[in-house]
Order: sequence, then structure tokens, then C-alpha cells
Amino acid sequence: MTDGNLQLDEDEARIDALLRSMTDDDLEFAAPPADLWNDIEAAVFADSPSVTVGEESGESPTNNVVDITSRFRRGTAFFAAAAAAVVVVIGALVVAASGNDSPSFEVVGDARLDWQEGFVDEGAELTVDATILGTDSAQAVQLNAAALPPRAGEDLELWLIGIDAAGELTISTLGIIESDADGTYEVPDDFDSSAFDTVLVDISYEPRDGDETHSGASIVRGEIIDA
Amino acid sequence: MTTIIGVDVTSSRSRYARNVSAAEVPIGHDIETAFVRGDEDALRLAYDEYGRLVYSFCARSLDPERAKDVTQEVFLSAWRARERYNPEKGRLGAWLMGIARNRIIDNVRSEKRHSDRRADEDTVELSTEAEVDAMNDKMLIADALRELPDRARRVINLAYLHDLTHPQIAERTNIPLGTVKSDIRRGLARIRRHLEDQHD
Repeated sequence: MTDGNLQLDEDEARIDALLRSMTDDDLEFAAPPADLWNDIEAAVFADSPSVTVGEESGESPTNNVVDITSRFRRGTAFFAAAAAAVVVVIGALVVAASGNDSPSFEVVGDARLDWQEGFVDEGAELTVDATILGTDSAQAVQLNAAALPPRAGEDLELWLIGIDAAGELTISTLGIIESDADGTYEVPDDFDSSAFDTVLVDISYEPRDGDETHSGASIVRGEIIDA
Repeated sequence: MTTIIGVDVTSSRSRYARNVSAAEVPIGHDIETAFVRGDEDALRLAYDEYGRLVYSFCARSLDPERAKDVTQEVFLSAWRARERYNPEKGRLGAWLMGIARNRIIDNVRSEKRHSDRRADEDTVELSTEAEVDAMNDKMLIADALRELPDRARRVINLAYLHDLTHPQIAERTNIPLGTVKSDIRRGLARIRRHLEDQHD
């Protein structure tokens, strides 16, 4: 700290000179290529490919009753571990998608999500494309370049709705998503798409009221068409 | 088709499969802490926050393909070495830029050696480092400017990038001369702290 003043003066002079050499162009940052994040995600997965969801989550397989809302919103260490596990699976899917040596996933279906009569107004002009990715043991829904209008105080949630031959519904959450999400979301392993005649992908607004069932405020929805 | 797609999900007949955590959820604490702790989505948060800064730095010094590769290397090596990052010593963005600086210098050096085998290596290395360091500082200054209040950013922009005198700025913006001067003084102090984050 003894030469602190001298150091500051040098820094000031340097900042002064640099600022004077800058132009408005220097203030504009370029967006990275769109596929760069996928490459990074894939490489992170390649660092620890042996981890699987069940082992990492620290959660007993029989411990099925999970308060999803409190876990998301408190950001506990447990949640971090669970999130880590899920991302690993997604990493696996992305690795396969980017042409890695051991491709183990394929596109198993896609869905075009549109606004339907009775849905919330925000979805009226929206179309979201979804791709369903599958490995031997896991499936994921990849939302493509979806820009979703946020609602203050509410979350966006991604759902799968399975409809069986008798018309019975089975609903499963893929979790809270971000409004600019073009992300990949794992399908819960107890949601067996093959058990249903029809599977729908749905995005809804969910008030933060502790009720983890679907609010009914759907924005867009579409049927999965098998590839 | 329409009737199926329009099913009423709020019907009491609906059955819920077991809920499983989402893949991508903001955890709601600062990126720095999450990054050191190794939360998986911390890398995504860091990328969202600093991806443009790091990539722009690379893109100004390297060709587009290399810029992309080096940006990927920066985030990966930062992630792998995250335990070495100390949030108390500076912002994550500055740390990432420090890693980017070293990678860019390595790349530029090998490019220059390759393109001109007769060049004196010492000269090449000195000029490379100086250029990349200047670019690094310019990028951090630009990043710092973005975080300044609108008025201070505008005033500093006019004073330095557009070479206006303080009275000229006061006249053009209708901001009192004293405010122009204090905005500039405080703004420069914040920029300096922004750069010091990296130099510590």
C-alpha cells in the first residue's frame, strides 16, 4: 500500500489514455455464436460422463414426495445437487447431438406448440417448437428459440400431459423455465410416453402460491408427433 | 385433434406423475458464490452474464473460428479451476477476462510466428502482450461503462470518446457544469475499481 498513490496515478493516466483511444464501436459487444453454449455444455459433461441422475441426487428412489416449489425457490444445497444431476443427463444428450464419438441419443419426436382457445392472451401470437430427444434411459424436451412473455410474480412452467386410451390425463412437470429459454429439460423417468395414446407439451404461468398442480393458465400447447 | 389438445388440465381427474426438478432454474443467489460452489447452472449464469464480453474480446484479437474456440476454452478452464477463483479478490468477469487474455496471447503469438518466421520472437511477444492488454483494458472499461448510471455514462462518453470539453458537455446536455465534473470524477473512479479487480 505504500506506493498506492503512485499506482493510482498510473492507473488514472492509463484509463484516461485508453478512454480517449476508444470509439463507440468499442462499446458494442458481439453475441457469441448460437451453438457455442451447447459445445461448452457438452464438454462439461465429457468431464464427468459416469455420473447418473440417481446416484448424484442423494435422494432415495422411493422418496417420491418432493415439495417442488419450496425446493426451487429456496435454492438449497440439496437442490443444487439435484440440478447438477439433471444437467449431467442433458449434457449427455447434447454430446450426442453434437456428433460425439458415442452417439446414444436420437430425435424421437417433435411438437409445435400453439395458442389454443381458452388459453391466456399472452400466447395468442406465439409458436414454440419443441424437439423430443431420447437415449436408452432418458428423454428430454428441447425448446427451440422460445421467447416467452414473462408475467410479474409468476413462473413459466413446462409440462407433459399424457392421455391414455380411456382419456385419462397424467400430468408431469419438467420444471420452471426461463422466459428466454431455448433450453433442454429432462423428462421425469416415471413419465413413460409409450403408455399414452397422445402426449402434449404445455407451457403455463404458475403463480407462486405453493400449489404444484397445473394452474390452468396455459400459454401454448402442442402434440408430440413421433419421428 | 383440437378436442384432445384442449383437454382441461385442471380437471380433478388429472393424475400427477412424480415431480422431478427442472434442468435449468435460476438459483437466486449471486453468480460468484454459485460458481465457486460448483452449482451446475452457475456456469450457464456466468456465460449469460459474461459470454458477450469474453467472446467480443476474443473476436477482436482472433479470427472468428478461433475466437469461438478460445471463448469455449475460457469458460471450460474457468469451470474446471473454479476452486481457485476467489470472489473477494475481484469480479468473476475480470477473472474470466484474465484467463481469456492469456489464451489470446498464446494464440496470437503462434499465429504471428507462423505467418512471419523471420520476425524476432522477443519483439513479437512484447507487441502482442501490449496490444492484447490494451484491448483487455478497453473491454473492461466498456464493461464498466455499461454499469454506470445513464447520465454518467453519457457524460464520460462525450468527454472521452467524443473529445468534448466539460463546458461543451454542460451546454449540450443541459447538465450543470459541476455535475458534469463530478459525474466524470466518480465515473472514472468506478472504472478504475473495475480494472483493479483484475490487477489484484
